Amino acid sequence: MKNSRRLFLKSACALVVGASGYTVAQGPLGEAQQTTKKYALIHDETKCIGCDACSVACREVNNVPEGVTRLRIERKGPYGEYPEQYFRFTRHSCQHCEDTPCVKVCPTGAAYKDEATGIVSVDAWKCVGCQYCIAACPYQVRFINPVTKAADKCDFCKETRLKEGKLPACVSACPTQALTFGDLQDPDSQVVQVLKHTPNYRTKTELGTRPKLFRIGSQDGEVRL
Amino acid sequence: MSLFSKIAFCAVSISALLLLNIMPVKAEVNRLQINQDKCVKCHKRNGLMAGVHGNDALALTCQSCHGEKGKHPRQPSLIVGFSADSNTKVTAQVDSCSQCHEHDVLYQADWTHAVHSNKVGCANCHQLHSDSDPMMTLATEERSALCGKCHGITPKESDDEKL
Amino acid sequence: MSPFHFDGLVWHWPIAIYLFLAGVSAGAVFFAILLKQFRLGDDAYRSPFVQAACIIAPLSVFAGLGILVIDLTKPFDFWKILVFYNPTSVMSVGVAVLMFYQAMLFAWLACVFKKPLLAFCEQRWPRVQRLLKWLVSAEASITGILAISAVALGAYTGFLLSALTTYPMLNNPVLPLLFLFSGLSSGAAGTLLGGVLMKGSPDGKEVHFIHNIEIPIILVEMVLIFTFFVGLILSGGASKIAAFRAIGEGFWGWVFWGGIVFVGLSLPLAFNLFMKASAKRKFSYVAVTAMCSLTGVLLLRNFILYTGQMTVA
Repeated sequence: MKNSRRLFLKSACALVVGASGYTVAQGPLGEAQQTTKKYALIHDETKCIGCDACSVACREVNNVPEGVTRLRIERKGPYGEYPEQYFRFTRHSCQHCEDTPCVKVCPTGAAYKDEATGIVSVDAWKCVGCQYCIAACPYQVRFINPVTKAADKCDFCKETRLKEGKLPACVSACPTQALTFGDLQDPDSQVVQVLKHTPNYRTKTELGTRPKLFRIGSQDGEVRL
Repeated sequence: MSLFSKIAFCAVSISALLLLNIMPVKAEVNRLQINQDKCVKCHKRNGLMAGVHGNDALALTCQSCHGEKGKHPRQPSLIVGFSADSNTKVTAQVDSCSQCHEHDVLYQADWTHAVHSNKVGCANCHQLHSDSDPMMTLATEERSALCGKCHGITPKESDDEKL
Repeated sequence: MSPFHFDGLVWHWPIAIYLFLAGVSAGAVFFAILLKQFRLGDDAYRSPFVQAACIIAPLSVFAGLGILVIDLTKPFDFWKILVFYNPTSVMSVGVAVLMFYQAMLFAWLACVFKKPLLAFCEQRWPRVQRLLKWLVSAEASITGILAISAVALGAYTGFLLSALTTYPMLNNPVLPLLFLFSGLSSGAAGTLLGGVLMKGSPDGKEVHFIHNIEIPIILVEMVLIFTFFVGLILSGGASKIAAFRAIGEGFWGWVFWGGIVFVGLSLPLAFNLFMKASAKRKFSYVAVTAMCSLTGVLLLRNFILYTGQMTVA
């Protein structure tokens, strides 16, 4: 009798120690071995020609249904006098903010930032479709996917191209190489080199979102007071 | 029938059928007013106008777009050529189309007209002599690919596809 | 730009109705508690006004939640919002508050109707009787917690919208206060209307009591609306543009000045003051005043929701 009780106690303790050890290994101490990345995107407006190849590629690769879009290029213009006219193009897509308003407001936690990559994503299963995130995004890049009925947006091709070790579809598709993608925490990456040596800007930074979609501005076509 | 007769009979009947199918279309194009111009005598293969510009109601002639014959072909002339290896300045080519097509209206149809008007001839994209102009039925993907044809940088294999 | 269809519009009138109903429920409960504690005591359950409030409070909160569930793009997955919580999300905190509020509400309703309920359970359900007696023993705590939950619910409706940094008009610290007070006033109006419809005396002590509180509430509401818009205008930039778009010319300008300021606030204030001065209150005065108040608050919710989304930061 005594032996069986001792055996039970020993195995129970071993189980508890093992379980704790496992959870510790998974926790912050364990993750120290993994490297975290902060993926960012640069849209060079001096190179963009407004051809929409990025948008077309994104739709195809990520199965975005008709009527909604993860990414759009806004065209402003024409500026100048005919026949010397020109346009300016700006990209509208998820900025993958460091201080995300959408993740903050999601009631179920379906909107989340993947700490390993810095990419903001949506868990379509957990999403109930309350549309709080759509209202909360000051860049207005989120939408309800008519097929899954959950919130959706650009995720830097996290579920498609990134998993295969490739660049996001838009970056590869751009004929003028106006898009640069990479890890902000890697000092040798092209993204960091470009950002350090070229004047660039981000939009709506006064709202405190700390977005990771950078833009290299082209000369303005108009004077804005 | 001998084997030779059989083959000959098939060949003749098939040709006849093919001709009967083609001939009505060709006959229609051939009957257009614009294709009665004397230019067609030499430019039979590439000169026939089968597109909408050949419509009799428009009453266009080869000279309407290509300019007066002048001393062509024996001596240099001011004839407007629209092909890729043409000597005609881009502005002259665009001016020819601008006789009828206002740039404001073209801009409404497609914004890209506004930025290419003094850089690229209209015929770089539009094909007028064939019976349909591919620009009229472009799908979104084809349109993006078209931009890339001229604006594209050849991607470097090594760093483009890998993260 | 159509008043009901424009870029940047995400939440539509079903959300405005939910915000209205949540406010009515919180307000009705608040006034029912005040009536019971300060005027009617244990016999409160006999008063048609308290009865009206006790019907309105649970029904309106259920109706509001029902509308909310239907408005989801995945309505059958609504249970996920009750199971998964995110403490940084005002909506998630609000769901928790709502669940707690409903539990406290039913516990309190049981306490209010303890006499008839106990009498009913006398021979039939002794277990229920035991539960009821236990609840009644904690009645004071339940009442206090319910009052706080009602105030939290009323304010939450405002916090929900003010968490949106996208819209400078909504991202405003005055909004939760405005919604709280308008919610309380709509609860009072609902209680009065329900009470006189249930044959309560329009000149009784309940009506006098509620009107005496309602007059300061309407005045506070007016001050809050003034502060809200003047604050926006003085903030400049997008806030100023948003404010002028909301209360300036156009459909919503009419809704604001005619519907909210005149019908919703000025008329009830005038009627209330007139009734205070006159000898005897009548059914029609009480009913019409209450209806004007309710219309005003419903219009306020729609107005703030739509005009708030018209201007993006």
